[in-house]
Amino acid sequence: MATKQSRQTIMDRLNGRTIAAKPHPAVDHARTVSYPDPVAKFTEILTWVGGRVQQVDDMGEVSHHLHQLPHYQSAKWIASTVSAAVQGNFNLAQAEDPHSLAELDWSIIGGEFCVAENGAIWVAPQDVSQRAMVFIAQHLAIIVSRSQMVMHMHDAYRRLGGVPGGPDRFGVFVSGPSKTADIEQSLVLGAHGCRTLEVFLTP
Amino acid sequence: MNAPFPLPTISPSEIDTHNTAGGRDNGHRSGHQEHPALARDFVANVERTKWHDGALWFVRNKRDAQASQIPEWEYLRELASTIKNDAIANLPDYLVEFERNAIARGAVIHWAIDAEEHNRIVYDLLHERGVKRVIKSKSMLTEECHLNPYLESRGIEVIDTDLGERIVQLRGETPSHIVLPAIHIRKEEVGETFHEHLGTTVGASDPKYLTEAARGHLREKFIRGEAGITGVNFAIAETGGFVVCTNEGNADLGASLPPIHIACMGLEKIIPKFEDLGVFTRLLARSATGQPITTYTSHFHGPRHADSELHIVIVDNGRSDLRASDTFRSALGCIRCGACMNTCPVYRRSGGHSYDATVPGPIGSVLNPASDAKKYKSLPYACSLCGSCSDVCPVRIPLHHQLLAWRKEFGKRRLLGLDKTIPMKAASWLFQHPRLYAFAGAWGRRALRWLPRPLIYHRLNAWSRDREMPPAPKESFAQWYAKHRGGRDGN
Repeated sequence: MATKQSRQTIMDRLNGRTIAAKPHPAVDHARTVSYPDPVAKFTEILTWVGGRVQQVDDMGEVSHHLHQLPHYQSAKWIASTVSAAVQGNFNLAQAEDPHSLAELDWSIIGGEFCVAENGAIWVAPQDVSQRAMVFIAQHLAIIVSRSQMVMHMHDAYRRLGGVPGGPDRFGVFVSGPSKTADIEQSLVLGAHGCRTLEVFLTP
Repeated sequence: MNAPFPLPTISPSEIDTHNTAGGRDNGHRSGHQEHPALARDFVANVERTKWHDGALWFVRNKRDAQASQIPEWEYLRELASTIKNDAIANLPDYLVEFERNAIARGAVIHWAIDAEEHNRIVYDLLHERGVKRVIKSKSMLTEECHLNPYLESRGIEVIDTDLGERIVQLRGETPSHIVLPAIHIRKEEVGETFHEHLGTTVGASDPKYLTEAARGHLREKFIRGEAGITGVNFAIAETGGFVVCTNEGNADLGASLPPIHIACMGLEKIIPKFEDLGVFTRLLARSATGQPITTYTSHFHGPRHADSELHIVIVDNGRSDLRASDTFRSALGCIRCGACMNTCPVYRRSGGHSYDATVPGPIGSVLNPASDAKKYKSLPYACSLCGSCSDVCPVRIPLHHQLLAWRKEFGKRRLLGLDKTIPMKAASWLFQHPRLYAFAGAWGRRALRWLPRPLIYHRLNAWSRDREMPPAPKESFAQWYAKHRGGRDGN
């Protein structure tokens, strides 16, 4: 097989040259930033990148807040993996083909933890339809506990501690709605993924 | 924002064939021209040059604002540099580790020595499965390999889904920047292109309206796509997974909808450990576009489920040669953020297409001569050696030192034209003869004052092109020194 020969050729080329380098460094955590109020920092950054953050006391409040939004009131299809907050009217269990999610107006999902320094939320969908719903819906709401907050990405990866994600081992940090500035550096929210991002911080 | 590497080993004639087949070229004339010639048209439009310069400087300022908010920024750069140097030094071990872990997660690994083999592997994968429509997110590696024209000439539709890349694709151009592919195009021009291809209103140039039109157009392509191709920002040896960073969400739609995902990566994309991602995800978007992190930072470890496929194509295409060079090796650590381009005074004023290469700007001027020194020998001179690129590089590649090193290398290989060698030899001789130097200086100053303008401002004096010569001083520095400091030994 050609690719096997190519593998050997490439390996021979690389092994033909021994190179010395300093050992792999470990991050000195004493030298990394720490925020006195990480929830405030997270909220500040996520708002700055176009997301909207609201603190809620319980799941019931999530639904209440969503119903205030005109683009939620007019939504036809809503899928939710957080049934305690929103039931939704789209049956994910029957969406084996992710293409069937294309009509989704809203996806309501849970996040595992937040990163204060950059407003990112770790999302680890459990299956392929849950994965596609993060990216394909017109609007996205993420519900995550504000007690699950890390300072920065070093802590985030330490917390993940190895291969991330659900059974399909996919995981994504989401920070804000999808965006582009490819036309004359003018920022436009809503490129291919969600147009808006609502984040609800539960206790 | 994903962005692999240049080093095309295909010959220029092959590239021309592919371009014709794919209906795609740079808008450049056939045959290679040097940077000053290619930059001439761009700089002739003063208004446009100023706009381009300003647009990139705006991004550079955003990068500065982000970097200044991280107190340990310099420490992060040091970590990134050390990690990358370790990864490059121990590349064979890390590649084997990556391969073993990726296979254990269900991915299929392919190895390609050069661009041609990379393209063939991707084509065979698609062809064997009867795929006719591919959705592709940004990958500088596939640009480097000229994958699109290769597939298109074999009857496969390739849709670039990054908005900037889609714009240049519809216009039959190539990206002029590795992160901001359409940075050279005005919104009015995008409006014309979209009117022609997507049926938007004549004369419309509102970025919001145009982006919305592209969203609708590409949604349809996403739904119809039968395979997704993405690049790779970081491939993790320890876990066998990889990370793709985008703002638009296009890579994720491309990887979650069709049952086949092909990820193409240069072999230098390897990082040793999962925790290294902490360092690189903090640096990448801040350096690239001045964002705290990209909107989506996606981690792929194996295919979605038993019925779907994940293929990873690992490409050399000149990288192992570069690794063998003590002088230029560290350039392999590049994470393709584009910060060196945004800050480069020459890039900002001459535009990405003047480099006539997949990766332009300072890093491109280091990498491209490694693949073809003769073709790209003008690039290391498209540089004032100001060093700003080295200052902003998140992995601390000593770019301006490497650009200078290339000039020496060209001298050694006798690749320099007479316009560069003869004046240098003459100057060297003159500097070795102080009396003659003083004499020539005195007459030079007089000549500048007395000679009629056409004898100073002419074709052979490049210094007089587009600028006024400085007024000739009355005396030389040596004369001034003797008068003011003479006999006091310089104190």
